[in-house]
Amino acid sequence: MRKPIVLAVLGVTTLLFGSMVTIPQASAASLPTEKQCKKAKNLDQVTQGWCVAITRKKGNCLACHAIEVKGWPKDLPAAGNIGPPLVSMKDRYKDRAKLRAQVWDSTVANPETVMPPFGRNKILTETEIDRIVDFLLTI
Amino acid sequence: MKRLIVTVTLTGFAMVVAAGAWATPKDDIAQYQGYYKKRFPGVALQSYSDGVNVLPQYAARRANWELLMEFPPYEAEMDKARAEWAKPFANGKTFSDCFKNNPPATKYPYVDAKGDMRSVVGDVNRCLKANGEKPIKNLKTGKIARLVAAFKEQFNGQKMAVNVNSPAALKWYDRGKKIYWTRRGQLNFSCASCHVQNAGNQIRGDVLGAGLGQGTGFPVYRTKWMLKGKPWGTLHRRYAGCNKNVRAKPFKPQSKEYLALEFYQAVMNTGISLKVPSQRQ
Ligand code: HEC
Ligand code: HEC
Repeated sequence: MRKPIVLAVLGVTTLLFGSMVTIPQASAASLPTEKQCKKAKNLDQVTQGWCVAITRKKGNCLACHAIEVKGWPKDLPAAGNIGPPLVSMKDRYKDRAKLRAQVWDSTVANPETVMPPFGRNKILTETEIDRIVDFLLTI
Repeated sequence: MKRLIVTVTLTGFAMVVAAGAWATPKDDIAQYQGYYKKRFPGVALQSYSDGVNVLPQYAARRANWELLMEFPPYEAEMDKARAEWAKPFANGKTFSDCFKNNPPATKYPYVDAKGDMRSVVGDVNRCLKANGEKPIKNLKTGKIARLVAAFKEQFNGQKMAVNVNSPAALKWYDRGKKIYWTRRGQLNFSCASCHVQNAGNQIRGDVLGAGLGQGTGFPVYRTKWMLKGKPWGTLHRRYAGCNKNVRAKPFKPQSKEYLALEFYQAVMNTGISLKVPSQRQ
């Protein structure tokens, strides 16, 4: 009896995201989970940024940071607490370049930080970093 | 000549490592153990052999582990391990005949007269070869881990007391220390980034255990590995796992790099009792 239920859930998910063109950020009931990110196509830039941020093989930002954002998907696993929660970014980073620099190579601002240098070590592409910054500047 | 200087400044202590300007192992031990004493004031030195289970940040999950320890899943495996340890070779000799000439488990690893680093894993294979038996190839899991566990458990409750008194030993020590504190891999972590700087913090769902005590419970029997059909793991299996997690190329088990690291960690554990094998989640 278990399998059909799982399949049904998967079916709904596919329906939802298979046909989705954009997820309007402000009105999104819930942001996509990592799995949903993988399947989704034609996401808007901000949601693409969210997806890069939460995907383990990409930004994996949740390993260290909670992110304070509306529409947090319920089944996303808990975030780590090595870094501070990412909050009020758009108020605190008036200078987009400064925020981008923090993600590109955090060791410039603090040589002892454990935050990986995502740009310098080519963990993420330049475009992926741009998308993450797009996303961060909405929170 | 290139002078390598690695500076690591952490909450509570600063440490400058420069070629030819090392602190003595004795100072290092005091500083390293002192750091954890300050960071986790309620945790007794002896309990660090229980790994991450001992940290207050892991308290909720410790209950699970304690429940598991009432009937440790490795019990049957340890019976097998003891039988393997006691089983005579074709020539009638046993592992004990070799190991009675070696130091106690609390002094492993050690540097021999030739300046080579000798681990229990290495000495098990030496013993096999010396007695005309085939050495064990898999140095990460299975029989090798069981044999090491069968040897080390005989010294449970005794305190680690590795010897760093010779110039050759000091060289190994310096090498291990440097590896421990140097960042590696695409994600740019050192062992210390996680197990010193962030001990007790959460990386996603995992609590990072203290570097102190690491090794005193090894080999371990681990639930995660059990699910993959290979429950036992040597210390070097664990090292390789941590390297891979930060996208650093792991070294080979029993490589000079891992032997040096094991030696450095064993020195830091001076005074902590052995507790072998251990259960991990
Ligand atoms: C392994 C841990 C780790 C990971 C993974 C990580 N960070 Fe960080 N991050 C930190 C730490 C620790 C800090 C605190 C500042 C410092 O150490 O210099 C930080 C700081 C920051 C800051 C500045 C915080 C503020 O409030 O101004 C931003 C922005 C940030 N991180 C974004 C990210 C993004 C985006 C990702 C993923 C692409 C990420 N981090 C991944 C550890 C991490
Ligand atoms: C990105 C973080 C990270 C880095 C870097 C890291 N580890 Fe780990 N390590 C972990 C986590 C998480 C665990 C599992 C929880 C625990 O036991 O601490 C672990 C467990 C261990 C254990 C098992 C402890 C026990 O008693 O079961 C050992 C030994 C260990 N690490 C050694 C090392 C060494 C040596 C290095 C450097 C070569 C290293 N680690 C680098 C995250 C890391």
